[in-house]
Amino acid sequence: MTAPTSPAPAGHAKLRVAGLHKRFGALHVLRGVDLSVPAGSVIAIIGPSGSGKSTLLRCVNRLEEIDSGQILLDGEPITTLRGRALDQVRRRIGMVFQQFNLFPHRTALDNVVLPQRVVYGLSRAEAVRNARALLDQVGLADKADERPSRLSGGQQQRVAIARALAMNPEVMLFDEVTSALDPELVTDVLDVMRTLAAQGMTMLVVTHEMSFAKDVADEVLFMDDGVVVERNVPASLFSAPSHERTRRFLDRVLNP
Amino acid sequence: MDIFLQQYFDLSVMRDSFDKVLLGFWVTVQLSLIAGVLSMVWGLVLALARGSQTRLMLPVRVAAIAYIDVFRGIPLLLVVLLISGSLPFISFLPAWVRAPHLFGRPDVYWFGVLSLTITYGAYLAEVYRAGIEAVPKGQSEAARSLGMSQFRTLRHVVLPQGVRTVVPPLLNDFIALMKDTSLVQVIGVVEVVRAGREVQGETFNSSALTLGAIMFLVLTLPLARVVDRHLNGRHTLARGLA
Repeated sequence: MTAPTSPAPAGHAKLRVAGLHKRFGALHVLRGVDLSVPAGSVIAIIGPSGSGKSTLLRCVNRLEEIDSGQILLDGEPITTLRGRALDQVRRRIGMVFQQFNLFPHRTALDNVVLPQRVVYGLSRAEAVRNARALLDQVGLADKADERPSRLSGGQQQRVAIARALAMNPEVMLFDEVTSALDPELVTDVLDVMRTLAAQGMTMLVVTHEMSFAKDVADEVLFMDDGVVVERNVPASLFSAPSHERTRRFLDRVLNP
Repeated sequence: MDIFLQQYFDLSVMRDSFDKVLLGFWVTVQLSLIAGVLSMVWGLVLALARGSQTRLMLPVRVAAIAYIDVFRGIPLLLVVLLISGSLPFISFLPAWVRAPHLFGRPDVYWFGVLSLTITYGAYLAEVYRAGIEAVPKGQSEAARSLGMSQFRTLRHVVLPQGVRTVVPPLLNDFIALMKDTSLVQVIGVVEVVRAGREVQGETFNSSALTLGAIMFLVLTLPLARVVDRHLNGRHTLARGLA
């Protein structure tokens, strides 16, 4: 199904997915997905809702158990890891969710401090120092002591990004991170992601923000019905999609 | 009217029996606090056992469910009688279980604590479970995606939120437990109701029991208000958790 239109990736594959199948009961959500994320690159995944984009992302860090296929991080299969080994791999894969999922009983600062303390056993002073630097990086140094409920959606999402970065991940997964935001708050979050990409973070981004995919992604994947229908550099995919399904989708989202 | 006042509110009877009733009430408070703390811990253990998900833990889960079903379904009084009437005669148990005299208290006192803990542990387990299940799935997913283990996710993310939402029902059950301590008198613990009854038997006047009721209210009314305040504040709390 996949069209090998893009050139072979330059960097080594930081993350690779091969022949991934996932079923929810009778529903066959992913039907043989292959993808490769070269180190330092940004891959955007677009496609209609229900196409399996989010499920794919959740399978990559094993939040969903897969039915068959392989997931490789730095060439090492992580598909069947359990317990401690799986926890350790997850530190290397940061994830940001559509619904932020900040810990509501903790301040913004403590949301970033807690996982460093719990997972890496850092001292409070050290964790706080890192957390303040990260909150500063996402433009929220002045909101450190606020509870999530007192922050806007955009601010919460930026705290969530800081929290994921606190684990020093090698790959970041973004699952429709601006879809729950008011339009005027989207920019701040996307700016943080742009900066991150510019700094060389390896990123796999499921998004409805076509302009972000166009500007930032090194490669765009179009998914529909559980498969990658088409993949290409954004300039080609957006201007000259080679599949009818891609064309129809782009038509719908770009000219509503 | 005079008869009514004299029967229930005879001040001289209240004055004469005050020390005895207060001493009984002190036992009631002790039983409530000890059994209250123990059943909160035991209830949490049961709730976690019941919520365990791996296949390895299946027997534990089944045992927890069976326990909770049984002890929620039979009267506390029955448990009190089963414990106090049998434990002393189960010869393979160590002496400190068959006839516990910890901290200088008589064995019936500890049988009472044990019975209350057994029964209220089952109630509280269900309260905790409701709280834990009310924590959105995204919370544990976020924690797991950061590399936290299942245990640490529970300890640092799920439980702090889950327990917070069930503070009002926990307090409600604590009030119920406090009142149910009066059942322990059937095995000879002189708590407030038993103390009042003894005075009633001697004086043919119920004012000592009224006094005991007043002592209960002094503690339960403020507690009930605390529960109300929590419940009224719940919409703000829920917003905080959204």
